[in-house]
Amino acid sequence: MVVKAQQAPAASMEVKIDNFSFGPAAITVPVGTTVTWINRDDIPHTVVSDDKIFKSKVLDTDEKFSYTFSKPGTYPYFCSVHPKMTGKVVVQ
Amino acid sequence: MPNPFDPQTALLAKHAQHVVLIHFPIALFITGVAFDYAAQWTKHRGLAEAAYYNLVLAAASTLPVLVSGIFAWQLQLEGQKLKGILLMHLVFASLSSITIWLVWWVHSRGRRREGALPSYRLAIEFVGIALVALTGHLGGFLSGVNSAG
Repeated sequence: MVVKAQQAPAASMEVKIDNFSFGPAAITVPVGTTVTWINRDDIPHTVVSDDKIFKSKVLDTDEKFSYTFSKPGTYPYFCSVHPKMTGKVVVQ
Repeated sequence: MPNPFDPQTALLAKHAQHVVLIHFPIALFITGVAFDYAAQWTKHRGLAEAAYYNLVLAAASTLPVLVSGIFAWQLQLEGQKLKGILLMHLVFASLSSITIWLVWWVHSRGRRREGALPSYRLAIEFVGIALVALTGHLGGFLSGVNSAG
C-alpha cells in the first residue's frame, strides 16, 4: 500500500490597510507564506517593498494584493501614495 | 527624524513638493477673484490692479504644480492607469488650471484693449473657484488631510 504524503496547506496571512496604516504593521511568517493586503480605507493605497521586490498597483477600497515570500529575510514596505505608511514582513 | 530646516530634506522629500506647491495657485486665484469682485463692486482701479497681478501669479504657479503632480504620478505610481479619486483629482486639476489660465487671458486681453472687462468673466471666475475647491477637496482626501478621525 502506498500512502501519499499530504502536502501541508500553504500558509497565508492578511494585512489590513485602514486609516492610513498597515495592520499589523509588522508580521513574522514562515517561508512560503502568501501575504494578502486588503485596502479597507476609502483612499487609494499601494504596497511597495523598499527594494521593489514586490509592488502592487493602486488599490482602491476592498481591492487586494498578494505576494508569496519564498526566501527568508526582512521585507520593509511602504505606500507610495503616502510614504509615511510603512510596514515590515519578516520571513523565517 | 529628518531635520525640517535642512533644505535637502525639503527638496528631496518623496513627492512632497506637489502638496506644498498647490497652495500657491489656490491662494492666489481665490485672492485674485476676491479682488476682482471687489473691484467690480467698488469700481476701484487699485483693486482691479491687485486682482490682475494675483491672477498672473496664480496662472504662473499652476505650472510647477502640474509638473510636480505629473512627476508624482509618473515616479511614485510609475504612470499606471489612474482611476477613482486619483483620476478625478487629475481631471479636475486639469480643468482648474485651464480655467485659471482662461481667467488670466480674459483679464490680460481686457487690459491690452484698455476697455472694460467683460462681465461674463465673473461667472468663469465663480466656476474656477468651484473647480479649485473640488480639486483641493479631492487632493485633501488623497493626502489624508480631509480624512475622518
